[in-house]
Formats: sequence, structure tokens, C-alpha cells
Amino acid sequence: MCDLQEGGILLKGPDGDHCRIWIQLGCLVQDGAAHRAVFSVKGDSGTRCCLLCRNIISKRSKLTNEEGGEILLTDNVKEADCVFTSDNDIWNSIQRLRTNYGIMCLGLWAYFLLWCGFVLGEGPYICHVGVCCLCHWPRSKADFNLWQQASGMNYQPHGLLFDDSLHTSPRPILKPASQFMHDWMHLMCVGGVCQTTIYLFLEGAGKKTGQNLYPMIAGYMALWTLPQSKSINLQSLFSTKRQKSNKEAQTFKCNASEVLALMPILAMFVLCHFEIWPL
Amino acid sequence: MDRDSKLRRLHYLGKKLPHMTASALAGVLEEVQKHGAIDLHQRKHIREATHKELSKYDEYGPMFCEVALEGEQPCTATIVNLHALLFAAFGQGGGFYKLLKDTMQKTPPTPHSPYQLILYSDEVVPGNVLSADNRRKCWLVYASIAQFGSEVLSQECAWLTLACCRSSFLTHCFAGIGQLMKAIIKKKIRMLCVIFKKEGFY
Repeated sequence: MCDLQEGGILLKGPDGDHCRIWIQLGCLVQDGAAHRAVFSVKGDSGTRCCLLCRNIISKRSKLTNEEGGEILLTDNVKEADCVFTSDNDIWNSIQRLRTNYGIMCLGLWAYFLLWCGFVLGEGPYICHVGVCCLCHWPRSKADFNLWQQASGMNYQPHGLLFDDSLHTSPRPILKPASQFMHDWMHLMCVGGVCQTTIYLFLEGAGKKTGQNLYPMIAGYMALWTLPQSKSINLQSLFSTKRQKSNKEAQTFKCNASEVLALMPILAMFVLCHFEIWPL
Repeated sequence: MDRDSKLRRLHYLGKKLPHMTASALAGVLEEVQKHGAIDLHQRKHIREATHKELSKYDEYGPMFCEVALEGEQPCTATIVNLHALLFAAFGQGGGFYKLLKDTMQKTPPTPHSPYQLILYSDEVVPGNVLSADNRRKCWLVYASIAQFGSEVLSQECAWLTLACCRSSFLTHCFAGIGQLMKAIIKKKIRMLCVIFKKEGFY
């Protein structure tokens, strides 16, 4: 038996030594686009932009919370306000999506079969508001698309989340909420948190001190010699041309390798110089 | 043969052969001079030699296996057998063997506290970054073990490649990379089979 999770795998070393290791699926690390493709979710461009939050919707959707409910927009920054999704929430959502596809897209026959299932007690085919499937009929494909938008998921019967064998007993191995992990490098360094923070710092500190920090930092960067493997010209990131370009884009324009090389030196610059320039 | 003639011959040899770096050509010539030419030197022989080498590590099935995918037309994708890859990487000794041995000493795995497998997938465009050819874009799936620690995981060599599929191929499959990931997880992590090899029961 060579099930990595329960039976383990017996490995033989070059000296003939044996050892057995057990491995289970821990997490799926991906960037936003890969998560969207693998998990069949709408992703950050959708109305339900985050798979892991039950009560957050995109600010771009223009849906406002007029009734003062618990729905939050993406400009919420407090973790305590978020209601997180559990693995079971996602499986239930998939199940509802599947049921609604049958009802809304496959037409009357599917409705009839579902109704039969309900009558025969194989159901109960309960929808999200706790009403039987009868309340869904008649519905169209447009309604189903709206459902997909509201749930933040795409109906892809061949997709990863639509395989029941991966999460049912006795050995569930896929836990979409628990195993979901963002690729932090994309989040922080690819047009992400680091670039925005550097831009805001340069703008804020420039205004407070009344000085243009770009030439000053460019000079400071020139004092440093990077390891040979990092052939990046950090000085050029603070040129006048770049300053204009950053201002237009409202962010500090640089790629991930550049920001990873830049951050420790910039941190040193701030620590050395801003103690005597209180902001 | 005088020196000029030898240099001319070497130059035309490099031109005549399919592209290889100067270092590669120098290495091949040096090896041939030291050990003589091998009788088997066709392309198919090189492939055969690779398969023969890989078959040494087939205790958990062949190193590469086919998974059936559903699409507009049924198709198959080739993925790496994670069991065989772990077995080979450990059995060969070297860096991966030492890393896994060290990790096992620090945090020994048990059935109740197994190692956590990390699967990473992303799309890449191979080739020259200055003239990207999106037709060559591929989905890649890598795996590693969380217990190696963040310092080791930040090294490229700590990640094992499980699959490499052209994006253009996966667009013809239902759910694309989602279906491929499902196949990898089902086939390679939850593979339940009994393998009898010459050395007994695994």
C-alpha cells in the first residue's frame, strides 16, 4: 500500500538504510490567477472577491450596505470584522451550485427528477434559504449566472472542488479553506503592498521635510554594492523620470526582484536618517 | 595534421552539429578522447539510456505516468510519479537525501503527524524574457515539504517538479488546470495500490 497519507512511503538510502515517511496535503500555494483557475472561483475581480471571507464583497460592485447588515466592502481593514469561511461552507456552496445548475440550466426534466427525489425522500434538496427546490422553478441560465456571481464560484463539474471523493469520509484530503495559501511574494512584491508603502512613504516624508527624497536615496543606493548574483541598478529606480512615472501610477514602479533587493537598504536609510528628522 | 587544420576542423564540427555550447562540445570531445566513442550514439539510444536509468527507480511505478483528462476530446497529460521521484531523489544520495535525513532527525514523521506537502502551481513563459512567446506558456506544478523550513523552501532546488503542461493544451480540457490538479492529487497523493516488486512488499 503506498498511500502517502496513511501507509506512507518507504525510502531506501544510498547506503541501504530504510526509512518511512508519511505525507499529507498541507496547502496549495498560488497567486490570484492560479487560485481562480484551480479553485473555480471568480477571484479578486468578482463581486465575491475572497473565497475565505463570507461577508466581504468588492467595493467595485457598487453594492452598498444600506440595511446596515453584516456585509463589508473590500475597504474594510479590520480582521475582527471578517467572518471567515470554513471548509464545510465551501463544500455546501459547491453542493448548492450543483443543485442550482440542475434546476436552472438543465430545465424541467432536472426539476422533475429533483422533485421526485424530494418526494421519495432521497432529498431533502434544501436551498440556501431553507426552502425546497420547488421555489427555484422556473429559472433561467441568467439566474444561474447571477447565482455564480453571488457565490463567487464558477460551475466547473470537472474542477478540483467538484470531486466529492476528495473530501468525503473515510479519508478526506482536500480542505479548500484550510489549505488555501496566497503566494505572499505576489501579494507583497508584484505591484503590491511594498510598492504602495514605498510610494506613500516617499510622498509623505517628502511633504513633511520639504525635500525631494528621490535624489537623496539614489545617492545612498550608489554607496551600496550588491552581491554579484543581484545585478540590479537600484540607483536608477530613483531617477527623475521614474519619479514622474511613479506619481502618475500612484505607486512605486519596480518588479519583485528589485523591491526585494531594495527594501533592506531603504529600511537602513530610514533608520539612519529619520531619527534626526522627526515626521 | 597541423594546428591550423585541427582548429578549422573543430570550427566546422561546431557549425555542422545541432547547437550546443562551446563548453558542452569541449566536454564531449574530452570524454570521447578519454574513454573512446560509444557504439550506441543515435538519438533513440540516448532516449533508451535515459529510460533505462529511470527504470532503476520504478519500485513505486514508472517515473512518468499518464493521466486521462476530459475535454472537447479525451486527452492525456504526463505527470511525474511523486512516489517514484521521492524514492529516486532519496536513493541517489546527495543534497535531497541529506535534507530529508536532517529533517527526519529534527521532526520525525509519524502516521499521526505526517509531513505537510505543499503544492505550488503557476503559469510561466519559457524562453527569452525580452521576447516572450505566449504560445509556449505552460502551467507548472511543484511540490515540497513544509517541514524543510522557510530557509530551505526559499531555494529553488527544494522544489520537485510534478507537471509541466502547455496552457494551450489545458484550455481544451474542461476546467483546465483545475482538472489537472485534481488528477495529480487523486492519483499521486491518494494512490492506493499494492505493489509487489522483486524485493517484496512495499
